[in-house]
Amino acid sequence: MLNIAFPKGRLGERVRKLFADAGYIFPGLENPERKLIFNNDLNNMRCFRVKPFDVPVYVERGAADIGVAGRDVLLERNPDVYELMDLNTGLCKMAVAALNNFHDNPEKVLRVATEFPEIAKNYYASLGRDIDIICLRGSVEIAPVLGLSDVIVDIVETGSTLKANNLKVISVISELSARLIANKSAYKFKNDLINQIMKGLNTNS
Amino acid sequence: MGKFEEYDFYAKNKQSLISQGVITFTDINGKLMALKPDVTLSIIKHLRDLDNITQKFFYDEKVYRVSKNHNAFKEITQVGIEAAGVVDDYVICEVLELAIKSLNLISNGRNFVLDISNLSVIKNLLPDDFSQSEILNLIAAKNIHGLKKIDGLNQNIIKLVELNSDFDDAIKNLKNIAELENFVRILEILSEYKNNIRVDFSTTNDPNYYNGIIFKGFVDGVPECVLSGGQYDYLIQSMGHKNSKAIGFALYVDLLENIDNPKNDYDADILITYDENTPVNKIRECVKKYRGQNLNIAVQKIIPENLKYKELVRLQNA
Repeated sequence: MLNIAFPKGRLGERVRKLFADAGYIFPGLENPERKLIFNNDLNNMRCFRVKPFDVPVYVERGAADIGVAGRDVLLERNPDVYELMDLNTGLCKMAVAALNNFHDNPEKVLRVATEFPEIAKNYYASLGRDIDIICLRGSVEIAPVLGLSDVIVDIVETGSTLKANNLKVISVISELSARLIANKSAYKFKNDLINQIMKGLNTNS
Repeated sequence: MGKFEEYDFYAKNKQSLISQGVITFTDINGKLMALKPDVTLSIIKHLRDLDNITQKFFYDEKVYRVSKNHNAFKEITQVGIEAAGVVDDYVICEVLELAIKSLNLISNGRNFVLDISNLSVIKNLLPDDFSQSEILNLIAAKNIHGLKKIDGLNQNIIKLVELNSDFDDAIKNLKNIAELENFVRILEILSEYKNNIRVDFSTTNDPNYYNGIIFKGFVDGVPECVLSGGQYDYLIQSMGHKNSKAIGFALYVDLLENIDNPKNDYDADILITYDENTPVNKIRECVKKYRGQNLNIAVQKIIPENLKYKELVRLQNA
């Protein structure tokens, strides 16, 4: 039995389609409602829906053999897993954004609001810039508007949320997309099944 | 073996595996001490006269580190071996064989594999600039799509990481590569274990510590590697043994705790209850009767609320 961790939400729906196109269908997953676990007895697989941020935890600790996680989550959590494939879906960017009229004063400690403290920390460490991280759990765009922070580090997809709040991207930290990850131990003992899935996903991507 | 060393000892040997997470305290003279984060260094430092001989060690010790995940102190049981001095093909094969046999023993009938790589070969292919550790991280994650995006990366790295890890296939593919001649020869010597050996160049470890052969062991059902080791010549040479080499491995037995423990659904097989009127000898007789049968026995005056037992023996109202 191969256990697969799918992210909940929008990315999860895209991943479901990718797997379905590759021939792996989990009955009921297209309309999951409150159900979390779905079986595919034909291929001896089981998938479960977890918070996108938790996918690497399930995989690293072996509760899931493989999973799909955004690169943002992998950069933030830095799990000890195999990153086997770029699924080329869920494309977006990790970026620094600020108010349209923002002027950076390099002598000041930069206040950074973000849901991704590790990514922000590593990025500014690479620039040698002192920062003060303000860790938020959503609606990060509001922080510079209210003067809580100077900039934000956040995921930018179309940029429309930024625009609506008078913000603009000032630098791109990293390109993001969904990745297929695998537990290092499970990869060795369930290699045939995992390779089979990779082949299926590859021919369709 | 003692539980602590002077902190200075670890600070001086920066190339050792433990650069972070050492738990320190000051002794009564104000000297900074450390709880041992690792055993290898402590073994190596006492070695004398390694010329032309091989010294071998076995240890089973507790080590202490700050856990990266929850910033808490952690006690880890480490069991391992080291061989230092002359480390030739024979010694390397002996250590690898011992690793495989150890995995076989602890796997308790489950599948197990030993992933083997050669870090020196990978290291020689890496560019010399700052991005080395970044590339090693990509290699360790089998992140082929990430490696392909690096400009000017030696394509042989990708070929090696992508290599089918099946023993026979790997040997066939590696045979003609001059740098891997010795590596292949050692694999061939160990071919009787080929069902449990995977040649996997994504197996990496700290390149400032390890060189040459490195390996990691996995047991089906345990999510992380349970055995890790390799050749670490730099450390032993930096301690004054200029012509010596060293190889060793450690087993992380704590990780095995969660598998193969027969689920114990009961706190006691037999619960014996008694009251003030039960003669002590009668209780002792009863206990004696069951104790010989390898049963878990609880003796209580009343039935404890949360105790789960299979069988109840009442000695009240005798």
